[in-house]
Amino acid sequence: MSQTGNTGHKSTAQKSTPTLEFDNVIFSGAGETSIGMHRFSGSISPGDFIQVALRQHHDPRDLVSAMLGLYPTELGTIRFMGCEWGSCDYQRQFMLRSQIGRVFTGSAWIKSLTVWDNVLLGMRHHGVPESFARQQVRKWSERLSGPRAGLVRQAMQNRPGFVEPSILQVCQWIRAVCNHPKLLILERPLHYVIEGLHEEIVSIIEEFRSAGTAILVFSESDRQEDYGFVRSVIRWSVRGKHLIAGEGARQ
Amino acid sequence: MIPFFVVGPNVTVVVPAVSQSTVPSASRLRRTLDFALHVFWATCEQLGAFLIGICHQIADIAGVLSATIFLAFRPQSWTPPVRNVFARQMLFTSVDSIPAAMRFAAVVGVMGIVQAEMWIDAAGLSTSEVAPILWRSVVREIAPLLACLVVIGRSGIAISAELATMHADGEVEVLDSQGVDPMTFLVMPRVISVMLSVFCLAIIISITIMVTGYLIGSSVGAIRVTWNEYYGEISRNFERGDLVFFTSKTFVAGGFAGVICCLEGVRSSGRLTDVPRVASRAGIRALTAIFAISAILSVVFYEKLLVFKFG
Repeated sequence: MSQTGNTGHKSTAQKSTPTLEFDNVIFSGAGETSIGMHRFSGSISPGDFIQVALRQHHDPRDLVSAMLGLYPTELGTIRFMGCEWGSCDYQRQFMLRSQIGRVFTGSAWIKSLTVWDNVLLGMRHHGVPESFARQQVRKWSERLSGPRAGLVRQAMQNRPGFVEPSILQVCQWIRAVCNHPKLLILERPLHYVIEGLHEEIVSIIEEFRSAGTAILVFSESDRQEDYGFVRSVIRWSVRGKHLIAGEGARQ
Repeated sequence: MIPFFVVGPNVTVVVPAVSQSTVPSASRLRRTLDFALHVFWATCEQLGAFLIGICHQIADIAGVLSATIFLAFRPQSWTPPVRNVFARQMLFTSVDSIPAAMRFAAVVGVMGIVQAEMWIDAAGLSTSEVAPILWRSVVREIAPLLACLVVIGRSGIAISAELATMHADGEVEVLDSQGVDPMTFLVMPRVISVMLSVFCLAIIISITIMVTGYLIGSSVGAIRVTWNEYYGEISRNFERGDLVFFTSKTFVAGGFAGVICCLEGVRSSGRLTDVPRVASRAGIRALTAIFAISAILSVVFYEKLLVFKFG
């Protein structure tokens, strides 16, 4: 369910606790092209697919980091799984963040580690058994790499600086989905990804939605990153420098 | 004309006439006084701000150091990635530094023997009287300080540059987004490895100084006792207080050096062009801190706790 304070729109489908909730949030990003929020209210529920239409110059990185509780808001609260970022202790915050998968726009890797270690870092740190973690990474790399599986496996042994962007983007997808997150935040997720993989990615998104994962995508709707074919998309937009919820609602 | 005021019918207060020349000088005096007061208060304000700034810095360092120690004693902090970072940092800060530390220690050992020889000649002392002084100065002051210099020069600056670069590249944000605590993953293993490295290198430096001192001293005829007698003399002069002082000094100085280098790195402005400046500032601040800590600990141990009793 998506409830939007700006428009007062309320979906008919009632679900359990929203995955991510915003309550009257004011946030300004640090960069000139960063997206902010001005008295933004809204929520993302399990199974929702929300697409935020970006323009080419928009940078959603700061906004997403604020959604993850990395940056404080000027006003209002952001809650993930019912827990307000500002009020829960650090330990819990880190545990909650481990349940969020993120595909970054821009820098996304620890450059001193290999891509393989980068992909496994989160799971290893949060005590996922090594064999299970490796199995998950192999499974998802088989699915997401398609015909380039060998290339991706080989590239994972290198440091990110030596790997080409299209393979790094696939590895970002693997890292985002391999721990079965409750929320997937994707910033320009199909950037650099070869077209042959789009169908597989859409089917993976559908699988995750069916399993109750909420998905928030920041992408440019007039380019290749168009998710018009994904069922019941909720569209949010950016007006000026601020995120606006609920325009267009469910389709 | 004499100016006066009539206060009552029979009372008249005569006010002395103020000459034209004294009016500007009184005003000038008042302005000078005002200016002096202004300078005084401005200086006080600056001094106060400076002292408050130093207090904040010390509080920050102490806070991070205590958090680091707390995290280090918590078993769940030592996840496989953290252990990996710690191992790599130990390799770089401690093991790879051994040749450099031994080179410096050997040179210091030679200088120490030359000085000892001069004292023996000047004061008419014997080797057995000078050896304990030399040994104590090595264990108490020279070795910990030299170890800190090696670690800061070789690793501390590198740590701050690495963390500043990570911050500028958004790598800290990447870690945070995955629920990996940067304090546990980046700061804690580095600070602990710096502390342990300073301690271990200080032991290696102490031994190298004494062995080099003996080899050089005996080869030039300055030391005329056998190795067994020389070693026996050293071990007889080794007190429990030496160990306490040595351990505390190396761990505290190492902890402060590590925390300062890490803090400078993670607090950088986030611009890559600032990385060299951050690195050099971290080096200077860490060096200042270890000299100050060495001095403070020496004063505390010598004057208050009376670990070493002279006379």
